[in-house]
Amino acid sequence: MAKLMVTLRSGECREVEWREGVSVKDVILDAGIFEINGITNCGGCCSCGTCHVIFEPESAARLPAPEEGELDLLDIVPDRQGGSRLACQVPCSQALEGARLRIGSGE
Amino acid sequence: MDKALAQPAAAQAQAANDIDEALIVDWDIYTEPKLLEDVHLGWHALHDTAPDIFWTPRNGGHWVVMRYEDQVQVLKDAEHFSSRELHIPPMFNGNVMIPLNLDPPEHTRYRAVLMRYFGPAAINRMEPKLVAWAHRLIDRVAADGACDFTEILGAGFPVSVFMELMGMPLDRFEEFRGIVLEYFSNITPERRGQVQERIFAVMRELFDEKRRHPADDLASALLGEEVRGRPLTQEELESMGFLLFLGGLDTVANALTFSIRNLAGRPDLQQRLIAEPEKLPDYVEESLRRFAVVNQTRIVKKDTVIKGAAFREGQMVMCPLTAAGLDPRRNPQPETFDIDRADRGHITFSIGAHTCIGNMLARLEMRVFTRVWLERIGAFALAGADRPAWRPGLVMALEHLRLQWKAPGNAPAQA
Repeated sequence: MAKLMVTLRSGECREVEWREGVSVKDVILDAGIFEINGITNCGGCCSCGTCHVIFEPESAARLPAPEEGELDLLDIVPDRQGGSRLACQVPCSQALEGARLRIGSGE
Repeated sequence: MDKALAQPAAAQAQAANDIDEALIVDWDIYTEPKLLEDVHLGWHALHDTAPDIFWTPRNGGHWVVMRYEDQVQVLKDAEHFSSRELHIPPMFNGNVMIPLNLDPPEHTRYRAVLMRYFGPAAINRMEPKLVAWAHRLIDRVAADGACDFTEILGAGFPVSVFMELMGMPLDRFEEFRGIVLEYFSNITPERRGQVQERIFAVMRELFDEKRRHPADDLASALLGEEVRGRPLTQEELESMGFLLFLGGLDTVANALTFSIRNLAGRPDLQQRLIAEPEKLPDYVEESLRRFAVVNQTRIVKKDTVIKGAAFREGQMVMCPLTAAGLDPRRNPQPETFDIDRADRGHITFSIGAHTCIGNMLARLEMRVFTRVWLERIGAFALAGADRPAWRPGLVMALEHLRLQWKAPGNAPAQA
């Protein structure tokens, strides 16, 4: 199994395979989805906010809570919602199985 | 400033005594002849002759990390490698640049404040302004058929954009450029300290002015910014201003000058970019890889060992970012300038928590300038065979770049 359901900005929904030990950002980029900034990011160090994704409430509830630095950066994301996270800060684990998320607006 | 990190020189020298002799290379980042000949290939030459990580006794003694992978490891590891002191030779004088000198998590809250102004959306909205600035500055030289590119355009373009963004008085352009050029030249820590004080004074004056006359600019906006629900203090504002001054007034200028020097010698590439402007992003990335600017530094916070190099608390570490882009293990045939290069890797904006906050602006500036330059000037070339005036050091530069082209009549074309 090991699937995530990722909705792109266009509305297209893709099934993305996750693997233990890497971040949600990595699996999204590895799947060839470059809407989260593949070039301009900080390398996944919770420092630029360009990998903003929004989990559906039911999926978000299963994730470990964001730490201080991630919350600081989420503060500057204009389309922040309840399920907002930085994909680089969400580790892949069984808790994610079947989770649904969409890519932030990038605004 | 963390006092524990302010290690006296004697203690550092003692720690340096137990460095494996096989890891010692005599290399002066300011005066090494190979760097004066070519700052990029000079560093790259060490890939053949030096260990992947070596110690040089020059400039107070410091480590040098030469390989892409090792640099990524060091720069992302804030647990062992701190940003509290970034000068080589170290200054230990307590002046702090926020957020550059801070380590996460303290760093992130300030970083977030600035990201609001340097994120993709804010930067993309600036494109029309950049296009206008490029035309305005190229107007000054187009009819001459020649120019010394470095100051008039290489610095003129990004520094004007930055000063306008900040709300700095544009009529003080030359004064501010003079300050930043001295800052990054081979001066003593004492003198650099004096120049720092001058920059703090300039920023203090700027924020005072914006308090009296707020305007639509970054300096005014920062006065209204909050961190964790309270306004930024005067000290924090000046500290951020100091960092923006140094970051905004020199680095892109150098990246742009390096890239245009290369393009001047490549008529084939000029033609191709005119015909295929959609390749400009690849051109910019390849320029950044091949001609990096910053030699990023850290101070060891906690002892650790990488590839047999024993990093001891208080020692300085340098990651010459050009050596990452030119690392043949990461980019085969690294000297070759190839905009079609597959799987290009560079960390010219550094990596990790301190990735250059202006990287999106810098990239956009290089794309916009190159596009407008080629539209307006067309084919251009190096004028004469001057020995390039490289400035090695922490931030590398080319002090002159004489170019020539066929002047399009007397009247400069207007966009």
